[in-house]
Amino acid sequence: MKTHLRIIGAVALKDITDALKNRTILIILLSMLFLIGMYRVLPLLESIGQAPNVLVYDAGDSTLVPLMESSLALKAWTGYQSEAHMKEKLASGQAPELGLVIPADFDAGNETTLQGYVLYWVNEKDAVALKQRVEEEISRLAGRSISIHLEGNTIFMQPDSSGYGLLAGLGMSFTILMIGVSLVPNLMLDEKQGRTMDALLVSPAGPVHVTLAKALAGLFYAAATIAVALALYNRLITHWWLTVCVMLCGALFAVALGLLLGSLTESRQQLTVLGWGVVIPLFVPMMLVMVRNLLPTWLYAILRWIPSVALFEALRISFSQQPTLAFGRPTDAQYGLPLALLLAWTGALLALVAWRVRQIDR
Amino acid sequence: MNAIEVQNLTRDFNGLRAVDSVSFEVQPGEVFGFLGPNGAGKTTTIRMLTGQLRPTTGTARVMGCDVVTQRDALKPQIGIVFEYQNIYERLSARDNLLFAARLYGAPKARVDAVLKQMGLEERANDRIKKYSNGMKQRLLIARALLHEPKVLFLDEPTRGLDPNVAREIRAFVTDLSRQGVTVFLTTHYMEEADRLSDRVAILHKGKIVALDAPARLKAAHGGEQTTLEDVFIALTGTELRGRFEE
Repeated sequence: MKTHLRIIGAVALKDITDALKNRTILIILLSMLFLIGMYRVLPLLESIGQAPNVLVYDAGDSTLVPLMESSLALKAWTGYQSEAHMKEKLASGQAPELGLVIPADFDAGNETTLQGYVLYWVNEKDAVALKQRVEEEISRLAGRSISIHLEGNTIFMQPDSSGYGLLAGLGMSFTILMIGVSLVPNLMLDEKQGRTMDALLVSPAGPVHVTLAKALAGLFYAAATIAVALALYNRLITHWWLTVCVMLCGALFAVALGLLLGSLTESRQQLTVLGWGVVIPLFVPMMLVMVRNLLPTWLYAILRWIPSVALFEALRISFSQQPTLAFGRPTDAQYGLPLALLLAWTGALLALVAWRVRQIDR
Repeated sequence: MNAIEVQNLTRDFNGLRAVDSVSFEVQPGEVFGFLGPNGAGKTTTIRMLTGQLRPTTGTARVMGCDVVTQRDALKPQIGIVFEYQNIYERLSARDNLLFAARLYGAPKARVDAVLKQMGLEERANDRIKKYSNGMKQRLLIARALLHEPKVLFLDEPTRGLDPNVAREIRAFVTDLSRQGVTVFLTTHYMEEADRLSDRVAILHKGKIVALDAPARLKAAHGGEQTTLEDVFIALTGTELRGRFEE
């Protein structure tokens, strides 16, 4: 056992250090980091210099609301049928936004404090700044001092919320899958094309050692990317253990897929063709489930069996307030099924890799 | 115990017989020249003897290890210099050797020892990309010797090298043999085979057509003025010669 571990460790360590000198692999890694950073920053950049969004639920027929709608200092969104409806929309925000409830008797002048809501991932400083900005404007519009109460009024995302959580889930899923599909097979191709694989296979290393070592190197870089993603999206994460667990399962799946691609291809051209043949059926369904409400039920029932969709849904569930380990609907924050699907796909792929490795072994 | 024992070794590729019932033995410490025209089956034989390829039929043992069933025991006993330069070009010579040392569980001190032995210590930290062909070949030999194998397979080790490096490598083969390492050598340079080998086998269309000491082969095919190249052409170039004579 010690010998096996030494061999696997040696090949994995060589791959990890050599990858940093390999232009193709460096480009893959930097592209993934750029991508994950872009998903993080882009929605926030869009809101810079813009009037803050205020989602207003008007319980009565307040005169303040038309004034807010015509204000240039804020952008009021109105017309919500209930407070819950407003909160549901607020949960799909991309940038720091404020939810505001105007009570039915507001115009009577009895109320000087309104209930305000912000998303849980908005930092306290931004929330306070937003609150003050809106307070000043609505006080000016109403002609009297009005304060907004935020303490404890935090809104969490739902598994089917759009906005920032959806973008983060998409960015993380995309990055993890791309690391597996592009980096791992390149590690294997490098050995084949440089014919160093022959030297490896006459050394004490066998095909199983080499495959496991490539998997370890792939997991190392996937873990590094996951660490960057977690650092960037740390405010979004409500259940760290679940997000990390889902991302690691996703990385395992991606690495298994990468190993299979690497074992099936002999040239970069083959990898490009086969890679796209895999990437498209994985990524298109993820895009489709973003508009799940517009899909026919039967189509969604099929799509949810696809591993990339399972990863995407499990990640979104992990950002919600109360995920539960049950095998029901992902929209009810039950992550059992997507996680089990992801693991089952990983197992199936690893079985295929094992079969392929046995074939390669002379 | 013979260093290499081969019995009726055969390998087919899609119905074509690349190696046809080859049998021979190699003594410990012997330099065994394995000669033949392109496509005669030399590299296929080496691949079978080093456990890279399963024979279709027949058996082979290297240092007592069956090449099919005892590959794990076989691997530490052998070193190979391939006919192509398969090293990690982005790594330095030292890193290449340290990697090989980790694979074989060889002590790190061996890395410095073989770097010195092959005259590479001054450029040990340079990336391989900057190396000349001759330096790369010396590094390949260093890698093959790192774990102190009992049998060294050299597949055309001097091909494409300048005469000085080729001479160094030949001298090195002689030294190894003196140290008791068995050398299995394939080459297209007949003079090299003649000078280095204790015995040579000439392979033609997958079959051994001659196997003896170079001097005895030359004597059997003409006498004092006959070269090993003459013997080689007499045994393997009949069809070609006939075509020119027509």
